[in-house]
Amino acid sequence: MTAKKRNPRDVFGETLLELGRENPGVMAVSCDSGAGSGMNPFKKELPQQYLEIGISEQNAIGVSAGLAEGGFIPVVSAIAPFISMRAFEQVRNDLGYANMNVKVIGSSSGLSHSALGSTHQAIEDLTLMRAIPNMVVLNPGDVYEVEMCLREAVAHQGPVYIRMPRHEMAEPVEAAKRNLEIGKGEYLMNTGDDIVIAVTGTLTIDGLMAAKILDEMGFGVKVINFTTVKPLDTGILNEAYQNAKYLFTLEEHSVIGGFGSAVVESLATIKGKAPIHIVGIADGSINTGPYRELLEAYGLTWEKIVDRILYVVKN
Amino acid sequence: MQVESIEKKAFNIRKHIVQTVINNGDGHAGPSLSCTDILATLYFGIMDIKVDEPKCPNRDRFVLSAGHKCLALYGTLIEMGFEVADVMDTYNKLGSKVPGHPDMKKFGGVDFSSGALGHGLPIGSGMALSAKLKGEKQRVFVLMGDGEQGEGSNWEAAMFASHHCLDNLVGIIDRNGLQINGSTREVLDTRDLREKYASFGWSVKVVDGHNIEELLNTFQSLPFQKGKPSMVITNTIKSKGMPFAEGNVKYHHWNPGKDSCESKEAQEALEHYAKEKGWAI
Repeated sequence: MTAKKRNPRDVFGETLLELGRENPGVMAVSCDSGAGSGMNPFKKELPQQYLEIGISEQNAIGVSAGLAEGGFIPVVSAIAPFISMRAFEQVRNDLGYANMNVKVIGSSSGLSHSALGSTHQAIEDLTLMRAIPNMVVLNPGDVYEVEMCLREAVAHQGPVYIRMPRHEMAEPVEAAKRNLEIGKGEYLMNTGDDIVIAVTGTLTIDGLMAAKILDEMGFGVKVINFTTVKPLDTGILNEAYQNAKYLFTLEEHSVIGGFGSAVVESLATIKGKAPIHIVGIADGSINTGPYRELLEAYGLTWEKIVDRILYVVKN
Repeated sequence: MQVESIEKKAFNIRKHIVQTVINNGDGHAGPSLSCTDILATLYFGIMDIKVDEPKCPNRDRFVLSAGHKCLALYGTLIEMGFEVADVMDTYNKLGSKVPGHPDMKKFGGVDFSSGALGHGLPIGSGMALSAKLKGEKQRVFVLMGDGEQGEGSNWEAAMFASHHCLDNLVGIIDRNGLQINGSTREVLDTRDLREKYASFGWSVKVVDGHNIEELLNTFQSLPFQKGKPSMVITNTIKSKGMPFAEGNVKYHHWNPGKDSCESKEAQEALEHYAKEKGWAI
């Protein structure tokens, strides 16, 4: 595991700039959020492809739909709850049902804005976005995935939601060994079938660390990373579930309707003996505080994940 | 000659609206009839569109933000030749190309799907900006209701369009003064829409929405001011063309039944109008 850490917003901004240089149809659309999303280098070098909408997310989605109708590829970014929830109807109707080629970036997603409270935290966005027809939902968990999600999203014809992390993060696996594609899950560890961990987004690193501890304790462990929440890679999931003794899903998101729900929906008709535990945030986030402390309070750090899994397995 | 030709098209569109609701039941007849003359003027006198090339990239665009007025749009597009009139027989039926709100994936000539109010002006603003960025001359027309002005997203787009000097964007408000629950004044008073849009940086004209000549002259003078989006507030009568229903809020939805007195009265009104004009029905 590399110790190198990078800020995902910087990686997003650099990648977007490269994509903008390659294709003049790529438009960066800001809701007074360009700086916070990492779009400043793009704005500086490609001002003709940068559009400031102001604090008006509903209009930002509508304008982006209109631009896409004209052949542009808008990449519209705002803090996750505002773009996915305030503008939900616009995303659903004008991008989803209309199948418009717009990329929606929910920046600082999950508990990223840990100190700012529930208004600025987005732990329901996966539930909402994956219910929208035609919408691809991506949830990067490290800087390699941030870059690849944006590249894949822009190459994909149709609406995409990317749930963008905020805090500095390391890459759990060497990027050169990975080949991220929309709709494909990947094994990050495979030492047996005692415990299968299906993880998405920012908990990938903690999930992998927890898995290594469990492996050292003698359990056979699989870790499958799902960068794409929709369409879910049901093939890799079903295969891992066949012989699993326990399946745990991990997400920095509500347990209602998110990644874990998608996994359960997918496995509902598959024969398997393993009980499925959805590890995430219970009905709503009421706490505020430093990011790691908030994750710990919700049982989402690697130490807490190990404790939770051992409690289940031993009882 | 052009005015009479457009009047005849408007008459034909009204026939489509009335006959569709009589034959198939329950439709937004009142709001569709109030904007019919506007659509007829735009499609047959103003807009640059080609029926044989419906997706021509630099064509003018029309977004029916008040999507429930779709019977008027369907009638207009049928008169243009995008579909045959029989398509309206499927209205209110499973799998119809002409659902209760327009769907761009189902009906050729619909430039953008709509239904939920307050979506059209943002989308139209994006289309207008797209044209500007590409250096194309296309214009974008967005038709809204007056009750629809209660949606805040309209005002987000109103700020945006003037900020970006979108003088190829034309908003149209079908001001018939009524919405589902009563008059717009009673439900949520829009007050002076001319003053409101002017204060948002638009150039505004107020016209009679049933006077084809005035509508033509108004649209021919676009943009009203270089560098500013234009707003045409059209004073209209809900259910225009069905005298017993004109200005009556209960005809927002109309479900007369095939052989009802109201059906006969509506058809007789159309026949009477045609006879006065000397047109064959």
